[in-house]
Amino acid sequence: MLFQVVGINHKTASLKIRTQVGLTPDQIVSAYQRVNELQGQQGIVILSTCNRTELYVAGNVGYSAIVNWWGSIVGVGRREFSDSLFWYSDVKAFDHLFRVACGLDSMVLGETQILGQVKDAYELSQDHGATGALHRLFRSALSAGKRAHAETAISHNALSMGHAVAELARKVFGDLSRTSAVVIGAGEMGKLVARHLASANVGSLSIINRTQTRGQLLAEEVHGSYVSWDRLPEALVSADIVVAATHASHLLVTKQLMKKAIKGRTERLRFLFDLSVPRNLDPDIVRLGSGIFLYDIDDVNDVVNANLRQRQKEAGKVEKIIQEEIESLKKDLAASEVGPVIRQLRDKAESIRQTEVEKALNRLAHLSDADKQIVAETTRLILNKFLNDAMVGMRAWAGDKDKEEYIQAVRELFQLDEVKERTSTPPVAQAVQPEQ
Amino acid sequence: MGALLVAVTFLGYFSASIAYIAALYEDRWRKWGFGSVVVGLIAQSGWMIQKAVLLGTFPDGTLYDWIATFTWLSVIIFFLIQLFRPGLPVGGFLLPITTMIWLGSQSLSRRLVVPPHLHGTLLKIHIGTAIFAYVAFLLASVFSIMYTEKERELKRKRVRLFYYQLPSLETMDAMSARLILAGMVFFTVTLVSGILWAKQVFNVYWLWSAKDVWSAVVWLAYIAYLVLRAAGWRGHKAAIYAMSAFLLVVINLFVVGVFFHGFHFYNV
Repeated sequence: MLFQVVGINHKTASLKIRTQVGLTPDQIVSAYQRVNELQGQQGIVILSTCNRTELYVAGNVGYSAIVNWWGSIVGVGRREFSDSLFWYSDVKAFDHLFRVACGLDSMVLGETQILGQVKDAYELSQDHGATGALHRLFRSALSAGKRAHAETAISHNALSMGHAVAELARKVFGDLSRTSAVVIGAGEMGKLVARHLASANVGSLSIINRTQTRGQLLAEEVHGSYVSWDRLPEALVSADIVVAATHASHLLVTKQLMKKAIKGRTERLRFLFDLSVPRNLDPDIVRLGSGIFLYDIDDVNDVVNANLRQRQKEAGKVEKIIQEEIESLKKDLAASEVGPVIRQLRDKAESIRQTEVEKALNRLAHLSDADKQIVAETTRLILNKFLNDAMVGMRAWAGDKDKEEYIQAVRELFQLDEVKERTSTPPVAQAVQPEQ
Repeated sequence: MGALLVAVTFLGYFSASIAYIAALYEDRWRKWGFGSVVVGLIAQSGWMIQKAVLLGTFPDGTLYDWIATFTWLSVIIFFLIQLFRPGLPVGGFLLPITTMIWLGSQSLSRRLVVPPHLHGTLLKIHIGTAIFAYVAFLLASVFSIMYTEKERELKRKRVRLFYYQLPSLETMDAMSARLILAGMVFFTVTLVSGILWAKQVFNVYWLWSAKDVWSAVVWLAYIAYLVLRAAGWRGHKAAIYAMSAFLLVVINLFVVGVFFHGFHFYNV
């Protein structure tokens, strides 16, 4: 069976095109209601997020049919977006979905949100009975995604400034719930950092800002407290974490001021972040005690870059997981191609046997029940022994591209009914198990 | 048989040390390290059992046996840490030190010289608690080494290895302090039982031998650590102190214990 994916993402198309041809939740629902327009399809899953819109299609459907169908749903002519599309089939399509699910294809390498989005897309397709032959593929992709996050550090280590500040603080203090933080400045950067510190469960969070209303607003949002600008020196005394992110053009915390603040507790661990340009914190503050760490905006950026390199290293491990999962998926899919043929062949033979045995036994009414049992059992044994080699042989064909025609030949030779098999989705648990 | 077990112990611990150091850089080496530790530990346990059967008692009567037991206990504790916290990269720090101490002990005399009539409960307590105390001090120094390594990366602002793998500075600092406190409880019992034993056997509490004096120095050094911590010492200074204090312990074992043993004549 043919598997393919047609889509656009942040790498192939601008935001404008992505917005134009991206499917809204309503459009996705209407697409699932119109799947029958797509001749030959045996399963569809539509994944649409702000960074990507991808149509996964099983069955013998032409590329242009998919694109036209897509265009008709979003009301955009095919020519307007066909240049931005990517298309993969079979193993490459599997690989693409697995990479997407593991976050390798995301803008922020290794992010976890996409896994949830893939799951939602799959479940929505299931709700509309449109998943068809894509069940196994999506289940494997989801399990690969879960494994990637559980077995590797692909989603560990902060890739944003605000997150990196909270992470650095945790590397020093561990649990932040016993620490107190002061954020100076309620501008964009101040907000970001304050939010991250709040979600990292920092024990107490004080916001200091020149404009009171703005400071109070942020303090309320992050469940912190607002401290007026002139009380900065007192706030520094109990602070474990200090973040300066203002537009002030001079030093807000001089070495002198800090010296006073930490008097008598110079050994205590403190982490200071100066995210302002020009500096707000005197760089000489670090000399006041061995427990003081001072990072400026470049230093935090360096950490973010190092984190990215770590994730790239982990990406190699994720690729390995993907390869493993794809191999096992290929085996499953191959078994599922052979499985129905074997089952149908056996069912057909069995039904012939039963009919004929019944006829014969009707004519042999003089036989005792025990004798009838022997006759029935003998026919069953003949059939099993005769079919056994064929079954074993066919199972060995699973996954072998060259033997695909043989399977087709068996179908035609024994006139096996494949219509029934195609339209209905086999129960997954049964289909995943190779025939015994 | 004994020599074979010692050789396998060495191979196990030595390759585990190397593998755990490599695991700091490449995670897949960790399972090799773990396997090697298990091999070494089984071999050493075999050696301990053999020796215990031979002696009819726990092997800790000579400095050679004592260090073997000390190593064995350290590795067991490491094994337990790995079992419950497999991600904690203690191995790369602890095993090389333990292996080196054990290797150092191979040059020591193996002849038991403490006359049997001097054996007794107090001596058993004295020797046993010393093992636990020194293992705690060793682990405290390992956490201090880990602390300084991670601190160095954070100070230099070049995050590389330890930034990602080691627990937070605060955690390692607290672990080191707790281990020293626990070690001090044992070590105080060691000294007290030693003093009482001396009174029992020699009819004096304190013999003023080099070993006695040096042990008192070690005890005072760790008491000073606890006092300084109470006074506000943390982090960097505390870590450097804990590492230096363990050097006193090593000197006590190998320099004082071998060359200036005085009445601790278990290694002549």
